[in-house]
Amino acid sequence: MSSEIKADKWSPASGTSATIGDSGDTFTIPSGVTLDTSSSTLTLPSSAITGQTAITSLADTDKFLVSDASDSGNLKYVEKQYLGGGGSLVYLGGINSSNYSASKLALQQVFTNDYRRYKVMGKFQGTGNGADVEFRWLNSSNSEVISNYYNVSEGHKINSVDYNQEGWLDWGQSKTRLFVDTATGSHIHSFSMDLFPNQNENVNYPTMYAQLNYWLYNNAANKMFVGQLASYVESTTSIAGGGMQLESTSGLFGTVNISIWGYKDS
Amino acid sequence: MTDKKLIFNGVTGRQEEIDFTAEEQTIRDAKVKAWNDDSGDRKLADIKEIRLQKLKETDYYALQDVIMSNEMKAWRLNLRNIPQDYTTEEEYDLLLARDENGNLTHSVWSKP
Repeated sequence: MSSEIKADKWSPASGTSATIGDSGDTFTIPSGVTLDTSSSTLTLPSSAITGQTAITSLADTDKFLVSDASDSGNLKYVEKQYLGGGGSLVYLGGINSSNYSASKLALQQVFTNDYRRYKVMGKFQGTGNGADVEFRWLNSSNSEVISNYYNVSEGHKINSVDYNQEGWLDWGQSKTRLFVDTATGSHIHSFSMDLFPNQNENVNYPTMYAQLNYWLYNNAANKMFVGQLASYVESTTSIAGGGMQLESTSGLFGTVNISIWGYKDS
Repeated sequence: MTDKKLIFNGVTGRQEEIDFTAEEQTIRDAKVKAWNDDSGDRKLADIKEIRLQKLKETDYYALQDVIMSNEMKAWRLNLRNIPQDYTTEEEYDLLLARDENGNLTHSVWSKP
């Protein structure tokens, strides 16, 4: 060591600012030394966060810096496991296609013990003029559940000259008529649905609730339908490990974009 | 022709397009046949929906303080008689025909 400065206070030689060292220099504060900035303003470089290595998932014990409002704003940390925040949607997968090749769309083996509720959103074009699109549950072997569907739907049919409100029951059916009398061509049919594969966990009864917005063929009158639909299956057979399927009654699905997420409670 | 299904499998995490099995195709063919065979009934249901709308639009003529003309009575009777007067799918198609503006063209719908 060439020299050591011993002073009780550093001050600028003139004015109110001074510089320590030059670019490229490194000053080390050894272990055991305290650099107390608790009463001053400490400005961090903007790269203090962005200059670090990124991670793509959080462990429960990962920590976040917080100012504790209940303790005079003192800095503390909180672990990810205590953040809560109402849970999240976890993307599980989906179907994307523009092939006009399939009459069935299936999300197979997507139900796991990790989630009790699921969100599916999608849109599609195609199928045949006036075709229905049917919803069915799939079991863990990808077989269709084909009985005891109880369905209620209501909504509005609208075009520039007509406005009709309607609702219907489909009781004890082999499927849920999710879309009825669809138009083809460039018309896009869209939906958002919540799936409860085990609505009552003692007796199963898988349940689905959907919001729909689609174009009706309506014998070429092309009305828009806006509505909602609820469906449950009176079945005590578990569909754990299974999924869901859409099937057109005639024609093929065109441009398809369907995704499924699992609801994570916390 | 063998139908296909587009699947996403949650275990493999992959999207695939696969052919129906022979058993699935047999079920599918029967479903499509039943759907096509039911075409006339679906068209008649659409016709009845249009008829109901037309009758509702003129129900007020039946109020006590409104006089319903004989032409209106005859037109409404013709609407109610559609299921017995028109019975083939070809006749249903004519009843459901529309012009390029989406207006129904069959004379039975023309209100006097």
